[in-house]
Amino acid sequence: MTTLAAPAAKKWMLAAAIIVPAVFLATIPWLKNQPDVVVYLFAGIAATITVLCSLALAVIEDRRMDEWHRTAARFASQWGWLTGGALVAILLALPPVHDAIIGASGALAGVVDPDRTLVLMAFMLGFIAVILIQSLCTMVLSFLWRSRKSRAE
Amino acid sequence: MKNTIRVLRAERRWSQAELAERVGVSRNSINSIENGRYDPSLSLAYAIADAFETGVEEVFLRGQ
Repeated sequence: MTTLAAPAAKKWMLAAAIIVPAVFLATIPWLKNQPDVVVYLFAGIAATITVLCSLALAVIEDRRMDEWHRTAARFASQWGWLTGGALVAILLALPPVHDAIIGASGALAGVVDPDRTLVLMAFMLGFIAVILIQSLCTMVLSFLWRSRKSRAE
Repeated sequence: MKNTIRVLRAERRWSQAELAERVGVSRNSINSIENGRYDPSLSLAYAIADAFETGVEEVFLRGQ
């Protein structure tokens, strides 16, 4: 039903999922002076490691949960994603949030006065892409789950 | 769903943590089930009944 002991692998995965993005962010000033191929290679490796560690963490965490914790996690993720998405949509209407996004983008990219419209449009398109892809993945997984659970023996 | 977990535990002088360990779930699970705030799955209901060495209908009361 459950194995409540935390495996050591979880600590390693958690450490990697935190350290790798942090190291990538720290190397941004150095990466700015590198050729595109190095930047893409670094970004690709960092993204792959982070995604794989996050997936492994999710699997480890799911295996050690009992049904009460799974129900809690299901409730939290179902409403958490919805609330978070709605909050981002609301926050994007506030000028101080615009300034923060533009300031952070400019600082990370090393651009003194970035184009406000371009930055905000890119941010919103990224947000919309996340919502759309999450919805798509939810539909696919829902279809797979229903197909698997309703098939005849 | 009403249940007799508290009574059955008291008869055996088990804490919630002890029952949780016997069943293989967290103490939070037992606490929520005992207080009627969470209805367990069929397999967990049977596991709890097995821990008390009784039938599931002795632990979980039908229609309540």
